[in-house]
Amino acid sequence: MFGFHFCKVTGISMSPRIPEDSYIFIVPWLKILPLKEGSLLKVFHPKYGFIVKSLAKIDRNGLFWLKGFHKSSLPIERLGPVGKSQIQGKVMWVFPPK
Amino acid sequence: MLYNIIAKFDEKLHFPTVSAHCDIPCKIYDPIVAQLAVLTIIRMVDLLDELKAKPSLTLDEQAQFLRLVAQKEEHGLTVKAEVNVIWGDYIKAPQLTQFPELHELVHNIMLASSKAKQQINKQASLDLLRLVNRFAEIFWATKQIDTYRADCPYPPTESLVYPRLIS
Repeated sequence: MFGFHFCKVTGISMSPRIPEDSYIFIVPWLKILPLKEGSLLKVFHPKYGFIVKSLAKIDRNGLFWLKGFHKSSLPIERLGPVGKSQIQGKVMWVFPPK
Repeated sequence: MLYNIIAKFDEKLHFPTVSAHCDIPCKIYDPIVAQLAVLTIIRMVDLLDELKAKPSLTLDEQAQFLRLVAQKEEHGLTVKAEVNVIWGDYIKAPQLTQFPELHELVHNIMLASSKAKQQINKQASLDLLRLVNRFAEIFWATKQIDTYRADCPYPPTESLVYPRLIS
């Protein structure tokens, strides 16, 4: 409604960059701008639902490959590529718990 | 401070959650999933053999044939995946020292799974069960848990290795 929203993060795959229980500020429309590797994205994944991941690579077919930061994160190949329509927004700010 | 303010809003507005999904080593391993998958393969072979005995198949029976083969294939992959996870994530040097046959046993399970998938062959699926039962025996032995064998109380009524768990 406001062109942005907050989400709460569960899981540790994005720590230390996004610790568990952080709040993230997401701007959905920013996905229309060119996304750079390393951008933090909220994605609707067909298998894992709504997830937050870092953009690892955009392949030559225009598909987006995602990764986490923690050693226990699902590897890139298990997550697989997603299309731009599955990207729900770009994370602009992270508010980690104290 | 900002976190606390957002958390207060969250209490009222219930923000959606996003998962930072991970593959945590959860230490939950059990060979029963692989064993049940082999039983399913055997059951599918039994049902396929029933179809094989018929001189010709109706359209429904042809559809049933396809479903049985598909399930047999799927459970062959399940056997491989489940055994691979235990072998790759749980089995470490102490277990390999205790049971040096493990690498060869797991490799044989992979080969036997492929064979059971490729063919409608009861003996191939029984061979796979024998190997997976041995794998289950070793798995429970590494946890100092005794096992026993019993016929599963449902078709195909084959002998399965169960852990003797004490509460």
